[in-house]
This record gives sequence, structure tokens and C-alpha cells, in this order.
Amino acid sequence: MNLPAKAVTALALAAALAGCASTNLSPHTGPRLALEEDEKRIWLQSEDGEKRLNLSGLVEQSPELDSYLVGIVRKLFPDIPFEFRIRVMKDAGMNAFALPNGAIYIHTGLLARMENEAQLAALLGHEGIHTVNRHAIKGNRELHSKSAIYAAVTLGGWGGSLFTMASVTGYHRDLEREADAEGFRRMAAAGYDPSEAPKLFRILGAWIEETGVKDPYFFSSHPKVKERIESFESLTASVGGKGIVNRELFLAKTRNVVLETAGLDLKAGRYESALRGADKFLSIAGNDAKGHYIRGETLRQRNGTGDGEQAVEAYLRAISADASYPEPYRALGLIHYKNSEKVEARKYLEKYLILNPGAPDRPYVEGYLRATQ
Amino acid sequence: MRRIPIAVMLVLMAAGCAATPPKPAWVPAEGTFTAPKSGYSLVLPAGWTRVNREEGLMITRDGATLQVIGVNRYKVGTPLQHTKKKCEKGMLPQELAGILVDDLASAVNVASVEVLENAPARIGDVEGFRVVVRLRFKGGSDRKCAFYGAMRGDQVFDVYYTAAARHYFDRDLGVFEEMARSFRFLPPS
Repeated sequence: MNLPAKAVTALALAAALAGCASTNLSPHTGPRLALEEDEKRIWLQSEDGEKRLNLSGLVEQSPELDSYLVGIVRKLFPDIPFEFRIRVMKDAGMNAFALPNGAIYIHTGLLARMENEAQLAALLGHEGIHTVNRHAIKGNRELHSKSAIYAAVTLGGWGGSLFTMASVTGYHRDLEREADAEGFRRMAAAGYDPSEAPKLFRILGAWIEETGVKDPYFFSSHPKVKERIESFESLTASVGGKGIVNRELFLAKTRNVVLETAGLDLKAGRYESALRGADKFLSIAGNDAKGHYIRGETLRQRNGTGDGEQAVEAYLRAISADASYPEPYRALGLIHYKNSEKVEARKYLEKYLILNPGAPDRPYVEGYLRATQ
Repeated sequence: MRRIPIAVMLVLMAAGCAATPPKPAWVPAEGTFTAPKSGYSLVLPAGWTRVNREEGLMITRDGATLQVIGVNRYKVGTPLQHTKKKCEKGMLPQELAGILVDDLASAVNVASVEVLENAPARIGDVEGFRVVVRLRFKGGSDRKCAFYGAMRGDQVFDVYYTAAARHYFDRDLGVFEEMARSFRFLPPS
């Protein structure tokens, strides 16, 4: 729900008045959290927005994943007087944002495309610095660019305004640079391989090129992608050395997010992304029925040259991985049904209904079975 | 040439406006609505209002934010609005229903789509589908949407009803069902 216009105006005015106050604020580090009066209001509003966002149905319910993410951010920020909360949002886009009160949200699309924990640490370092270095209140007080309006508008509601503005508008370019540099230092200090930071931005750059996003959220007011890659490469050169990458652990923790994102990409008809996601999931999970099924569905729906045969192969692999998983039987049944191969169609469709007697599409399947008698 | 004083010009303009009153945006909905270019007709419920245009039906009783009944058309082989998927010739009604549900799920303002019912159904005497979904929007609102659909020629039609999940959806579902039963495809011209 968006804030009524009057409330937005009032907040913007408050932000403008706050602009008279100092922007020379020390980071939230040390044993005690000290918030200024106007900052307290922003935190309260953030907490309200966070509560609503968490109840929206958009946030992944995976305590194991949340706890893994919080563990990383604790390594990056061992010296802060509050707890970060990291949540994953069901969205195939490549985005992440931090609220001023320590809530950080990462889209499944971004997490699914990362390769290891070090890249995740680069992202969390960046987002965490926005909170620790108090960028929201600084932005408000400076009335710099869109930041004050951002804070005023975003903190009132969780819906379009909160996360759209937080992610689309972002913080002022100078604050983004600060988050890049200080986040990078935190990542290196925590022992992560710094050379993974520019790779994260290369992945983001490749996604922008592939999807043709005209106004990519994560970068709309950020320093440009290429510039950031170069900046991270020079930072990497300055610190040198290797460090923790944690590829296997990261992939094990995020593999369900990879499959879920492949499913979202499939719904949206982004077949290439869906196929890459399914392949990545299978490379992590091994011979997994759901992974083979999503791969088969993507190929069948893409319907390019040779896709049909490959789809059938993927469905058969799904059955061989888990003979009790019903979906590939239906898919194979429908392929045979459309090819007027009645006996084969019946075999698979009957099996589907046996395995899934409460199938939501049972009326359709019963119709196909009647038609093949 | 003499210049026309501004005051006179304003009076003339005002008179011009008065002479050709703007077309009302909404008009009472009743009787049979025929969309000749789109190729269908259906009977509208009394007491509702409809958007005042010849093609593209949209009606409401209490306001478009509370409930809307309308008709959509999709060209076969053309990507839908939110998903890049296309309805293709030879697709089964179940496959068409799946694509329309995926289109809803891919809308940028939709948080989640839950399919409550999905079954074969006839619409305008053509084999098709009937789907009921619950839509949760990122803004927090909760709506239900029922739609019948079918492919005819190179177009997919859907007759839809969407309303606030609480109170409104159940109240006017019967009106929608009756309207959907009255849906007829016009003979090809």
C-alpha cells in the first residue's frame, strides 16, 4: 500500500528540514546503537515496512538459508550494535536493497546467478555499508539528488513504493561508491577472495545485456557497471592475495533458489535463463527429478529444433531419478496424446493420476483418457 | 487582418465545447453487447455500467477497483503482455489456460498467483477452459479472478471477472457465470 499523498509530502518536508542537520555522522559501530531523532523515525518506518514486506508472500520461508546469509553478514560486520536480517525475495530479477534498519533483501534471481560465497559477501558488504554508514539519514539531510525523496517515499509502504524506490532509485552515486569501497574492504578483511567482487558485477552486466533491460534497477543511479568492474579490479589489485571462496557450500545452500528461479523464468517465457538455471541446479543436485522436469518443460515450451526429443529425454530421466514424481508422466502423456499415440498416452496419464489422485488438472486428464478409449 | 480578442476567442471555444459535449466515459450496461470487429456478443447484466467504447468490453457495478467483467483477445503467435510465451495453433485448452495463468504470474505488480480451479469448459460453443485464481498484489491487495477462454481461428478469447477477494468476488460470481453462458462467437465475416 502506498502512502497517501499528504503523508508523502509531510515526509518529504521533514526530510527537507532535516537537510539543515549535519551529515557528518559516524558509522553505527561499537557496542551501543545511537540514533538521532530524525533517524529514529526512519528506523520505525523501516520496521513497519519490513513487517509488511515479510508478510507479503514475496519472501522465501527458509530459516536455513536466512541463517546462512546472516552468518556471512556477521563475519563482515562483527563490530556493529544491531543485528542484520537478510531475506530472500521470490523475484527472478537481479536486485538487492538495504533498509536503514538493518533489513537486507536479495532477489532469488541475483542469488541464483551468483557462483560462490565470496561474491555473496561482496554484495552483502555493499548493502550492509548502506546501513552501517547511515546512508538513508545522510541522503535525507543532504537532500542530495533523489535520496531524500527516496527515503520519504519508500519508508511509508512496502509495496510498489518501498522496494521499487529502494531498488530503482537507490542511494546517491557518491554513497554507492562508498558502499562499494568499504564493502570491499569488509569482504577482504573477513578473509574472502577479493577477486570475486568484480566477477559479481560481470554476472550482472551479462544479465543486463541478455535481457536488454533498458533501466536496470540495480544500476539506475549507481555508477555504471563497467566503471564498477574496473573500480573493483583496481581495488583487487591493491589488496592482492587469495581467500575464502566457499563455492560448494554456497551452491548447496542456494540450490533450491536456483530451481525456483528457473521456474519463475519459465513462467515468464525466458527459456534461455530457465534452461541455464535447470542445468545449474542439476550440476549441483545431481540426478534430481524436479530439475530434469523443469529442463524438459523448458525445452518442450521453447519448441525449437530438436527440443521435443530432448524434452522427452529429460522427462524420462526425471522418472528414472524418482519414479514416484508425477509431473513427468503427465508431460509425456500429453506429448503422446497430441501425437495421437493413444496407448502410450494412456499409459503415462493413468500413471500420473495414480501417483497424484488429487491432481488439480484431473478433469482435463480424465477427458484425455476418455478420448483415447 | 483583425486579431480576435482573447475574451472572444475563449467564448467561441466554450461555445464549441458546449456544441459537442464529450462522450461519457461510462454508460449503463444492459441488453446484448456486440463487438463486430472482435467477433463476439454477450448479454450484459442490468444495473452495471460499461466503458463507452465499441470494442473491448469492460463493465462494473460498484467501480473498477472493486469488480470488473470484461473480454480480452490475444493473437496467436504473439507474446502476451507479461510473459514472453505465445499461444500457438494446436495447443490444448489446458496449455492455453497455463499460459494465461503464467501471464498473470509474470506481471510486475503481482506477488503470487494461486490456482483454485482449472477445468475444461465450453465458451461460445467452443472447447476451452475455466480457471479461478487468487491474486496477491505487491501492494498488499487480494483479488480473485475467474476466466473462461478458448481459441477460435487465430485468436484466443477470454471472458474474465476480477474482484476484491473479500465480499465482492462471491457476490457477483453468479452474474459473471450467466454472462459467460451468453457469450457467442459471431459468424466469420
